[in-house]
Amino acid sequence: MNTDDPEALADRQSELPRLLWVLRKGKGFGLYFVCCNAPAYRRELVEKIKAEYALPILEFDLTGHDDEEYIDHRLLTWAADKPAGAPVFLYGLETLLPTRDEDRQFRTIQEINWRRNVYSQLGRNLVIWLPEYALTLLARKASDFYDWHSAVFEFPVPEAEKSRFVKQSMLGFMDGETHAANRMTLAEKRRWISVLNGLLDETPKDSEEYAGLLNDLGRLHHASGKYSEALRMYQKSLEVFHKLNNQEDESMALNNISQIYQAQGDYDNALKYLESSLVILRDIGFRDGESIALGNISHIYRIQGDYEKALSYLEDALVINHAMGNREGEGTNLNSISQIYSAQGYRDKALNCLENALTIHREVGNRIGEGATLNNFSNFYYDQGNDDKALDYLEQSLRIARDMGDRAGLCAILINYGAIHDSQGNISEAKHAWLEAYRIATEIGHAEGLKALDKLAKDLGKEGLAYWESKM
Amino acid sequence: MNKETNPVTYPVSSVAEVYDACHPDIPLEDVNDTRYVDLTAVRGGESLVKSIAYAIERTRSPNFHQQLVTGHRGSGKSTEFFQLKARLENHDYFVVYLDVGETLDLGDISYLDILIGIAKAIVGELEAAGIDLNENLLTEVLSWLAEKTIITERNAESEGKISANLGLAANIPFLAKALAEATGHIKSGSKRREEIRSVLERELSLLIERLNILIDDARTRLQRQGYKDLVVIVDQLEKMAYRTNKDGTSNHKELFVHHAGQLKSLHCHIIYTVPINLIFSANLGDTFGSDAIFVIPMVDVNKGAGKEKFREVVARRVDIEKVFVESCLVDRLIAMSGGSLRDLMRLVRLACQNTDEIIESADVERAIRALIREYDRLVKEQDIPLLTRVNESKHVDGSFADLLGLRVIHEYQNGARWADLHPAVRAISWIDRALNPPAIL
Repeated sequence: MNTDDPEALADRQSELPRLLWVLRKGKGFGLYFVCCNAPAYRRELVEKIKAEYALPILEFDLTGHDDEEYIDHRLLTWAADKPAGAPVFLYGLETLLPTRDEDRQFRTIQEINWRRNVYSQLGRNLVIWLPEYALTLLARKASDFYDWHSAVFEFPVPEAEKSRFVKQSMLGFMDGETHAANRMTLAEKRRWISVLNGLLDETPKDSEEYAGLLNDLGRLHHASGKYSEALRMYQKSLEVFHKLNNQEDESMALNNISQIYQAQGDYDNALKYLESSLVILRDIGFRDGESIALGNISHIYRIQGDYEKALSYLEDALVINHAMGNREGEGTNLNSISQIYSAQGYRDKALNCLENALTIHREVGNRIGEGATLNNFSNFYYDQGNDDKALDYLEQSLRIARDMGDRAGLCAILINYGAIHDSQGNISEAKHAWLEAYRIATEIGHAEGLKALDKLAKDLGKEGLAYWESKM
Repeated sequence: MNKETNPVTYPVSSVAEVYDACHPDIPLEDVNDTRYVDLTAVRGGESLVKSIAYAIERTRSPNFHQQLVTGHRGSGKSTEFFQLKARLENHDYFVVYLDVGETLDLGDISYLDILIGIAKAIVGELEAAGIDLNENLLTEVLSWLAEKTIITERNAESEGKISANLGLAANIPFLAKALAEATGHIKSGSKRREEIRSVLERELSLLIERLNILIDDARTRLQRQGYKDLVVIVDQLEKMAYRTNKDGTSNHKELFVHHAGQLKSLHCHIIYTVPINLIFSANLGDTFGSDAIFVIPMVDVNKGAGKEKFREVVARRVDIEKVFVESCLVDRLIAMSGGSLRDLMRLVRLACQNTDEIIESADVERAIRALIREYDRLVKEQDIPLLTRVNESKHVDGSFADLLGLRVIHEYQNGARWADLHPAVRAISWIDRALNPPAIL
């Protein structure tokens, strides 16, 4: 809506009274959409509506909804014993409509579209609250359902209070020492992806905040193995940060992009991005960033078998993190160093690093890091022939990866899980795990995982990756 | 819908009642409903009710009339079907109206689900009318179906139980239950659906033969009661999900073209609603016959007659003089509806919102702006070339299927078929600028 237009202004002011009017006057079933991008503003609006409406309003949140059950069915069962005539406010439908997860999106949209008759059995007003992007998606893709509404109410966040509501809506995202992507479960990530997508529409493009949201979205997609979507977000954020001459964040965007290329096995490109990031970081003296870049460069050398170089980069990173008091960084570095010591045969040193890393990950709440280190513990004991201990650590790690939706981590863990079972002669269990690992690796395009699986198939006397494909 | 509520007398005369009087999603089921307005004359002159009724009356056994119907959402399809049903019933036909949205899974529907769904509806309606079917035939069809769908589910361990059930089974409710069980799996989307389908598919001709035995018996018994014949109306099928199959065709085409033979195989007059995009993308004429598809067009409200009819639609529901401050305000709403009954109703409702006395000009203008914003959500930058094309040629082809589905473009028929942008789309400022670029000085 154009804010300068007096008619648009009047329309905006009439949205709330109109909504109250239909709640009072609309009899039986009625479908309404309310468009609101910032959850904090929505909460405030709902409180206001409840106070003015004065009669009961039922609230139903689909966040964390179990995929197995029909939305309408859950809603009907839930509403069955609630006061007759009380309207239902439905939240969280957007978490079932992630922008790029087309499969999930298709299922939700089809479900809503063809089961629209069931909603009418509610016999009450159904008010669905959605952020703009999700409502647009629904309107275009579930047109039978959308076309059924009696009104759409739009509540853009008031200009003067925008930054307050956007900030409030982000509460819980920024908490903690580690980025949300490292500590949130898959369901939480899904919810936050919807929230951030909604907030994008309330944030001026070409602003720090906009680029920051894009970067956060990139991290969330990255951590759930959605590489192409993450790359798209990182690149857009890079563009904006560059335009704003924000070198600190620009270098971090370059770093994040490198990690996508690295995961996809494009080490040359990854290194190129890391080096240009390092140049900026040293130029501006951003030490925290420098340590991250050094750690990432080290990882590439390690994959390529150059342990000396890998270790020297890591040691530089560790020095910086220690000096800066960056515990999360220290934990990550120690975990990586353990892997080099392991490869070089320094078992005691490796174990010591792993123990310290685990303590720090737990201290800062870095769940992804914790899972990775537990996996490395498992590898350590496996190498020592202690299968029981190895399996115990691996199962802990597996649980975390599943909770977090860390698909890249899951892929690695399943490969190891298979290896332990294979060594115990339990080949069918092993193949089962490897097949799941293969499915994940192909889905997300995980280069290291695919390489390992190719080798495993050949070790079994088969023709490599084609073997797993034939078993799908 | 609660039929117990106190009857409302139309037209209503206070704004408070207008909102419910103009509910766009309640088709008029009662043929004598005073709100019904026959729009045939302003829809290109061909009456759905009359033309389908004539076709059915002209078609004599062993032939049956098969008809496809399509039209935009909210064009009044279901209301027309209720009129058709009443007309056929007056002419002594037994009509079964089946809303597949309520009984089948439109997210994943196959011709088998539809065939069984129809059989179930026929059995249910006959039962409701107190007409008994032949017990032996029923038992035969039932045991066959039970064997195919129920026993496979329960395996050997409970076979004893099934045969015990069969002993009690020779009555209609049990058959209805067996059919319900088959469609129950179909509706619930369980894995069993695939199994049942593949079992039935292998013995398709037997399935159809058995369903027809049942239908033939129903027809015989209906004729004995003085009915001329049996007609089935399958409504809401146009809302089935759209999916592209592996071979590149759509599931819509698969159902209505590839499986047309099966859909036409039942021994009764039958009417199916189909998705509107099929009128372009499939050779329906080859399978259902060239006249088999009836398109309900939108009403051209730019013409005096169309405008008058739409005014009558409003006037039957609300007392225009008492509810609107000036009666010409209704004309504004009619012009913006683009000839869609649903949008007309929606606009009237939008104009009431937040009004308790009388609808004024400001309310009408606000309603129109709200509708324009709703359509703004549906149009994308990339649609401009197609919108420009239809704006100039007033003609659509297959590439417009999506935009027709969204009702961004409406199809009309007076004399010839033509199409145009929805007026609410035309009124979106950025679309207007794109369609009418300012002259370069």
